[in-house]
Amino acid sequence: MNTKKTRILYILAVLAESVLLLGGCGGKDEQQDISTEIQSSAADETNPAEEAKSVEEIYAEITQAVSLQSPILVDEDFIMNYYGIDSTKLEEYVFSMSEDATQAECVIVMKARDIGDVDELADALQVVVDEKKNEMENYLPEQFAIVEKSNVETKGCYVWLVISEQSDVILDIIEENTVG
Amino acid sequence: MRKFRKQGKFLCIALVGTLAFGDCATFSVYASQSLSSDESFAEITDDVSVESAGGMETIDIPQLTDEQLAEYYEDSVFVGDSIMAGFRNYSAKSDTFVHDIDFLAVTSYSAGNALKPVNSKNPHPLYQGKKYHLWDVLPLMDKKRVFILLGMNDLVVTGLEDSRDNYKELIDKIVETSPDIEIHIVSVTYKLQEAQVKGCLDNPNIDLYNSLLQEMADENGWGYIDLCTPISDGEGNLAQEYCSDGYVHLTSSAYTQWEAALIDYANAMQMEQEETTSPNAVSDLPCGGQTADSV
Repeated sequence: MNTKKTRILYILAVLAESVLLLGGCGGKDEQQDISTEIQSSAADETNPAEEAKSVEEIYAEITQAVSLQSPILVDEDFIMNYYGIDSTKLEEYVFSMSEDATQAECVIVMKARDIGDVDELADALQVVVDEKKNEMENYLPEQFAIVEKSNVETKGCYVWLVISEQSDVILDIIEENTVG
Repeated sequence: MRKFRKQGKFLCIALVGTLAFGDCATFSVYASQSLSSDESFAEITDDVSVESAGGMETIDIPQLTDEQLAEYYEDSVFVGDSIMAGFRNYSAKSDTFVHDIDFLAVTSYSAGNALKPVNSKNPHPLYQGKKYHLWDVLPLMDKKRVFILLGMNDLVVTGLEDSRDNYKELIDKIVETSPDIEIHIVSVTYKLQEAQVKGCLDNPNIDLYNSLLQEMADENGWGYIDLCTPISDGEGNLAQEYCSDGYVHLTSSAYTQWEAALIDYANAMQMEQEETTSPNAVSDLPCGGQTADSV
């Protein structure tokens, strides 16, 4: 009897967890609460869950670790007008680019509200890569070489693109502070 | 029993998690701007008096209010090459009226390139993630006026007249698809005196080309704004302090000069409009309102 009840509870738990994983990405505070709870309740049987930082915190860590080239942060009108990125689909984001139009450098980290929008966001960031390549190819070969090494990456609800000479350091920071 | 307790804990955690994640709650955006110019917008827009050309009398130029100025440029789209892309980036961090300008700026853009087919290789402006011909994208943006800065990249590959002809062809196509849009041509800016000459891209040629553009604007009733002189060294070159790369690209302080020139331009446009719409406009004209055309 006890075993049967246990099985039912186990199935319910698996279903609930599936809904959790497929249902979306959630707010940061909620996510942190859940992470904390999982960490404290299940500490005796699993590794402590990794804790994701906000993209704002991630960007702050990046700017402390590397010196970006005259970075500016652009707003939701800019990302919509240029790249068709609908900011209402984003839980949070940082879109940093160099003020100097002859520098291709940009650091973009986005967290989708819904995991179902991740592919669309990745496509939009691929447009950024293509645009930069197109602009720099026959104009600034050194910048073109930097753009060519860049890739749009995704992890869970996160999508990011780093075009920078210091991309290795920046990508490590993003990778370490995001949870899939 | 221990196993059951663990599974029970897991269930509780999963349910709490599901409830919490069910409402994809908060939305936060991290984007900031900072004031780059030392001049406050309010200071720039105070009424001014200027001496007339002969220095004999002063003319009061009515100044647009902050709101009118913001409205004038909010209803504008600025088009151009990397020089304009620099202004776009400057405007992105600014909190003055320039922040609300919409841009279609792309590195390597030129009148000649603007006429080429839209494909992955040719430079064309991006709008909402797609490349367009300029004459196709402007109707989508539904703006009252367009400011166009092209020519620097044209002069590298084509001569002055051919570049001007391409420019005219481009604007004709724009007017076809957006018949009500106001056209304003922006002067090409100088390179540093010592910077390498590429094709026809030399400062004396830039002067000649700007004359051609101004002439074309006058002939067609288009606006023309000189954003070259405010950042020149007074001797027909880009001033060192306004150059960011030892060649043609501009610093933030150069764009601050542009910002001031744009204020003057909007005021002048406003005054011109008031003159033409005023009931006394005809009698204000020299010779009792008779223009050369009306004779």
